[in-house]
This record gives sequence, C-alpha cells and structure tokens, in this order.
Amino acid sequence: MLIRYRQAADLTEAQVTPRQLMVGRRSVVGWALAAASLLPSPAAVASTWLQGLPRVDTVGETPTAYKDATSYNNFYEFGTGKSDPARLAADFRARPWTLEVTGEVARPTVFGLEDLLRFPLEERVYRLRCVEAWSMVIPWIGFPLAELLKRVEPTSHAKFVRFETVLAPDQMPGQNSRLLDWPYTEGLRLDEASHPLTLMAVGMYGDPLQSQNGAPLRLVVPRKYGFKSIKSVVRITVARDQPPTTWNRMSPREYGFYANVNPAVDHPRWSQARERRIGEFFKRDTLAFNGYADDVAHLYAGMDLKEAY
Amino acid sequence: MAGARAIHLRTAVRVGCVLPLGTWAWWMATGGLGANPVEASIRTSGQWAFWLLLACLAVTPTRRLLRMTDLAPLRRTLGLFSFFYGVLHVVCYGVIDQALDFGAILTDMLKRMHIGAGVVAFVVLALLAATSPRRMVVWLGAMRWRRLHQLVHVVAIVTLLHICLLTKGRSAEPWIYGVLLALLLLPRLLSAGAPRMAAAIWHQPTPPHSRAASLIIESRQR
Repeated sequence: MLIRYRQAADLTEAQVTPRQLMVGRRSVVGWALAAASLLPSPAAVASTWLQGLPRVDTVGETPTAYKDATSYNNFYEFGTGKSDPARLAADFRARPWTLEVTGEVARPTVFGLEDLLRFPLEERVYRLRCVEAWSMVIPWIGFPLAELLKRVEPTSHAKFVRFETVLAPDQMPGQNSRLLDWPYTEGLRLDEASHPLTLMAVGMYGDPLQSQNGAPLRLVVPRKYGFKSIKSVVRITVARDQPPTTWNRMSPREYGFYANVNPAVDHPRWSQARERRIGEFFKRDTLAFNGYADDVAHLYAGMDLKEAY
Repeated sequence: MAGARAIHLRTAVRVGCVLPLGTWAWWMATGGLGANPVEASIRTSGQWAFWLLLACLAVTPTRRLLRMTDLAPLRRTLGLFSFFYGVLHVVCYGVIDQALDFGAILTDMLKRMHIGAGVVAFVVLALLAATSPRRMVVWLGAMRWRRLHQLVHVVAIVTLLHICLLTKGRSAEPWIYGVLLALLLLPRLLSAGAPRMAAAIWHQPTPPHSRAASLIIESRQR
C-alpha cells in the first residue's frame, strides 16, 4: 500500500472529529473559565497532545459517527449487549496504567502510560470489520507495535506475541460471569505483530480512548476481525509457541487464530461475504483482508486460508 | 361479571402487546435503536415473539391454578401477537437485512441450523395463526384442531433451539429460557401421566365430551 502522509493543511477536521466528549467536559470547565482563565483546563491539555499529528487515511471514506463508534461495540468484560460497554464502563479506571512486556525479549520492560505516549504517535484511519458482519471506519491515534517490539528486542526464539487484557472484576462487571475465560487473551505471529499496519492505539477521533473502546491502550489490526484487536492491554508476552487465544479456545470452529477478514470463508453461523457499515442501511461487499490485501497477503503466501481461517 | 372481567383483561393484554411495537416505532423515528437499527430490530422483534409465546403457554397453567376459566381466550390473543412479532422478525431479516436476496436466504436456511430452526418455528406458527379463526375450528373439527394446535409446544422448543444456536459465549439467557419453558411444559406432560407420554402429546387428559364442551364455551367467550 502507498502510505500517504498528508500535510496538516489537508486535514478535514470536520469529518474526523465530532468531539462530543470534549465539548461535554468543557461545558463544566466553562463555568469556571471566567474566574480561572489563566489556568489551562485538563481537557485542553488532553486534546493538545493528540492534535496536529501526522495522518494516514487508508480508507478515503467518511469516518463512522463518533457517537456510534463509542456506543456500539463488543467488549464482553462489560456485558454482551452492544450498548453495555458504553453504559457500564463509567467506573473503569484507565489511569494509572502500566504495560508489562516480557517473554522472549532481551529487555523486558514495564512501561508507564506516559512512556508509551512518547512513541511517535500518528493518526491512522482504518476500516474495522467485526466478525459479526458489521463494520466502521475509525480514525485511531497510536504508534506501530513494531516500534514497541524494537525497544524490547525480541530474541531469536521469538515467533509469536501474546496479549492480555486487564483483569479487574470490580470495575468490569462482565468479568464476574463465566461468559468467557478471563482475562481475555489474543495473539499474533511475530511478523504480523511487526507489520507497519499493526497499531497500538491510545486515542480515536482526536481524543484519548474511551473506556468502552479499550482505554487506555489497545491493539488495532485492521485486516483481522475485530475480536483480534484486544482492548485495555496490560501484558504483552513474546513467545516461542502459538499462544492460546480466548475466542479460539471457546469455539475453535468459529474463531480461528488468524481470523483474517475473508469474504470467501463463512463463519459457521453466517456469511462473511457482506457487511453492514454502521450508518448505512444496506450491506456492502466485504473486502479480502478488509481491503489491506496488497499490504499483508504476502504474509500468508502458501497457506490455505480456508484451513488457517 | 366474569364476562366483563375477561373483556377488561383481554383489552389490557392487547394494549400490552401493542406497546413494544409503539416503542419500536418511536425508537425507529428518534434514533433510539442505536448505531445498528437493523440488527436491533431483528433482535427485539424476535425476543417479543418468543416472550409472547411463553406468555401464551403460561395461560393454561395459570387458568388451572387460579381456576379462572375466562382466561382461555388470552391464548389466542397472545399467540396471534407472538405471530405478529414473528412476522416483523422475518420481514426485518428477509427484506432489510438480506435485501430480499433469495439466493442468500436459501443458503442461510440450508447451511445454518439456527436459521433453519427459525424457519420451521415460523412456518408452524403461521399454520396455527391461519387456523385460529373460529370457523377453522368448525371446518377442521374440534378434535383435529386441538391436535394441530398442540404443535405450539413444538414451536416453543424449536424456537428455544434457534436461540441456543445463535448465542455467543456462555450466556445465561438460553438457560433461563430453558428453565422457564420446562416449567411450562412439564405439568402438561405430568398431568397426562408418564407411562402414556406418547399419547399425551396428542390427547388431553379430560374425556372427549368435556373437551368438546369446553371448546364450545371458549368459542362463545371470544
């Protein structure tokens, strides 16, 4: 793929940032503004470090409405309903936060969130395709996972990367049920993890990630079904062997380890040939590798994608 | 007096059955269905169809427990409303979700068990709805009509199967429905007597003459 770095002047901010969250916060701040006009508000600080970043648009379509992207998603840690995460994530504490990177690496490291924000952040507009045949277009803010892996120096034994979501049943009501095996884990092959499209996201739509979207740090692998893009990550383990992953263990016939978006391989319970883009009425065709085939198909050369689904 | 109570009760049930449709229409108009109104419509219409089916099956045990004969007509009211929401469910799936792509719908029906089960349940329920008018009872004969309408139990079980097959993860929902349905179906089986379980599916425990008599009473109450 041609990665186009646009000039800041080319940005269509109106399309990308309906900033309801910040507006909400500022209305509170606004009352105090006349009195405390010399003090910078926390909202202003939060928004400035995510502004004016280099932007890569891989889609070229209007992003999904911010309201939809923050109120309709799967995050079973908060419940099975699509609106459960937005409804039940209010008590989730995304700060302070640490990310532990261990395993087959020369420099095992515990990163604070502040350390992670020092990686070269950029805005990436990606397609998001859920395994349930709905999809969105999201302007993420993050850094390539490859940068993080480079920092910890994987050893020659490193073949896979395992990711783990935080275990916090006091803040995540869904974790008190037996819905899935907690904590949620996911995995990638090392070459998939190191691919430049694979992103560690800390924000979206110009704002820090909302709790329901996987605050403060999540994986984004746009060519794979959404369940691979694990949220609220606290641990990354570089491994020799393919790690077990949550949905794959739950129902291996339905959720493969690879889970690359593939319109030619149906989910046992529904067709994957088409998808409903949130905000659109009728379905549209699903693209091979979610439209990123030119960039990533070579990673799977010689593999039978019907077997390695 | 009992007649007046029955009429009030039936009016209340009818209003209650229309409420979800009203809420849905309101949400549809105001964006209350969320980011994916199609999926929300399919899901909620199906839920209402099943809940009303369970309510329909609850009428007879309630009637026997409280000795309120005049509840009997509610079965038809609830059954027909269950079918109505079933139609909405099927329309949302076929017309909006699949955009009347009959090839895709046929593939879905044949390849995916939960769609197949849903189709079976819907077709049988449609048959019961079509034979619900009083003159159909006369045309079929009371005995045959009764046997035919025992199929409502099959509809409920197949619908539960439909729900189980489309549930993700270890959700409690199908288990709750399963227990509810078992509670509603077990007394029917037990009242018929375990040794004659097979016969119980087709025959009522009461002697034929009282069955016909009760049917006439019920039809008069409608």
